[in-house]
Amino acid sequence: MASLYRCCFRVAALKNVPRSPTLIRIAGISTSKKDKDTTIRTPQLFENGLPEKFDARVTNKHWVSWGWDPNDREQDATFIHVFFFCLVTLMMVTGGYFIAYCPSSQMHDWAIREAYLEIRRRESAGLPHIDRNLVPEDQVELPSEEELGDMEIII
Amino acid sequence: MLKVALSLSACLMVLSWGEVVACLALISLLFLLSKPAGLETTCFSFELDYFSWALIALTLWVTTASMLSSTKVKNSSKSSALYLLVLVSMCVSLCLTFSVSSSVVFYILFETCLIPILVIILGWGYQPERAQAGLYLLFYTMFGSLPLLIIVLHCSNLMGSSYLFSTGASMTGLLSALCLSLAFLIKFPMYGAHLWLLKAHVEAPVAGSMLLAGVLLKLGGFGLIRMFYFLDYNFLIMKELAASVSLWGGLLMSLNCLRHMDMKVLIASSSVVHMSACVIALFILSDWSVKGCLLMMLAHGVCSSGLFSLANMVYERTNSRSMVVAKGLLNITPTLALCWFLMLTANMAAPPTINLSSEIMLLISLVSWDLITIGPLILLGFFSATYSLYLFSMSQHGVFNKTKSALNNSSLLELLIVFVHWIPLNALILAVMFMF
Repeated sequence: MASLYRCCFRVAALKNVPRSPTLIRIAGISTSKKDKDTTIRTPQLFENGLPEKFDARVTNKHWVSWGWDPNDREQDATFIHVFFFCLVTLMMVTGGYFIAYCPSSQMHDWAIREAYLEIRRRESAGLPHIDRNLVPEDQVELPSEEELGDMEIII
Repeated sequence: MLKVALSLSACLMVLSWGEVVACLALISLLFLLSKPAGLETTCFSFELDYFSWALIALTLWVTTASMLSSTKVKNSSKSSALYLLVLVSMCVSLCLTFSVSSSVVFYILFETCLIPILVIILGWGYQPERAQAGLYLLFYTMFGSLPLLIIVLHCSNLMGSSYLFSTGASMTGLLSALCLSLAFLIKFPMYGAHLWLLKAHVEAPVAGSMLLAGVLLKLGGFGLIRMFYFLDYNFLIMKELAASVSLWGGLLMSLNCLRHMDMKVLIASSSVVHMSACVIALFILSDWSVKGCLLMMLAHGVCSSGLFSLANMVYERTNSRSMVVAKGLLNITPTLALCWFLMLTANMAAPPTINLSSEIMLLISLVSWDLITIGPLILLGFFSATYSLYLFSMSQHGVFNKTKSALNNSSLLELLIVFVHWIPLNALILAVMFMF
């Protein structure tokens, strides 16, 4: 109770204190002097001539080789580009695409297609899918006993 | 197609490095698009099989990558033009070897491929030990080549022509099988005749290592496949001998990998391990084993080549191949650490690489041939993963030795090289079912 009275008393005392503004404008709206601007090139800045134009491709100060040529920057960059193009873009990407999508040179597609056609033909003719005999039995011509003679028969 | 490729390669010998690499990339693209349907005749005495086509594509791809990796020789060596000439001549002779259809010409080209790699090792190797490495390479190959020459000439005499794809002459007996396959088993290399590879890889510069691991070892497999046309299928003793020596030898080599400190020797031993599975698969000669062998050769060629280029990147920075010196690289070159991880997981046949699909095919075919192979194969697969993990952990983890003050993370070209190795390993899994 007593603490509540003390708080209220302090708040009442604070009501009349002039508070400083939270935002104070330092820069005025009026136009300032031009000496801080860096966009305008005044003659005084370049009395000793224009500085050298900086070109990252020419300066060799902190150049690190890509790994091919430790001395010649142009050669190094050119050959690295060539190797990546040939090995990765052409061989792996393009070559891989061709190898994956070109028709099978071992004729797998043809073989499966022929197999399905053969199955359809056999089913319509009432034959089994795979016959025990390669050649029909009635068409097999066996040699006679005279032709065989002493030949050993291995089964 | 092959004529175009060969004539272009001949013209390229007068151009400089960058143009040669770009032209090789274009030639390999054009070549990839001309997949043969069966056995296609390109011109007289040159025929392209599916096997040939795949291995020529691998040759062109690995040669391009090896030229990109050889920037040190290109920039610093006075004989860089000669180096380029040797690399191009190696590429040309390899392409010819894979596409020829006469057994005598095949033998001549098989021997011709030896000369450029010898020149590379002796001319641009780093250490004086390269002389001994060159001798080992030369004489190991020569030891197997003389019986091969005799038997090839005998076969062509018997048949009246030296056509590789004919089945007229059936050579029976262990001696014939041994003579026909010894040179290729040494080239593969089968365990027992593998010492030349370990020495040659250490002494060879990066392009030499990449070509050796990527393509030259596959000459052995290719040669075996071609020479099997001359053999009667009853070479059981040879089959059992080769299978048991390769299987147990591969297991021993995978254990041996775990004690190596030299990165290149470890990767070379890993090559022997992978190729040992291929050897058995080729001798079994079942459908899946031959296809698995081809896929393993492609996968291993690309993966091993990538690993050697990464080892060279470390060597250029730390001047050491030893994992004791060049360790803690994760702290210094994190991008390359990622590249090491990707290539080593491919090496241990992690999905979705073609290493995995090839190992699956080989495992299934080997186990279906004889159930007893399952024991060593389990151990082989396990230790194969172990030494890959060992190489990664030893080289990348730990505290970096401050022997050099500054190391650059990785240049764009190095990332391109690893990318060019890693993408085919992972993307070709989608093409596996259409490859056969």
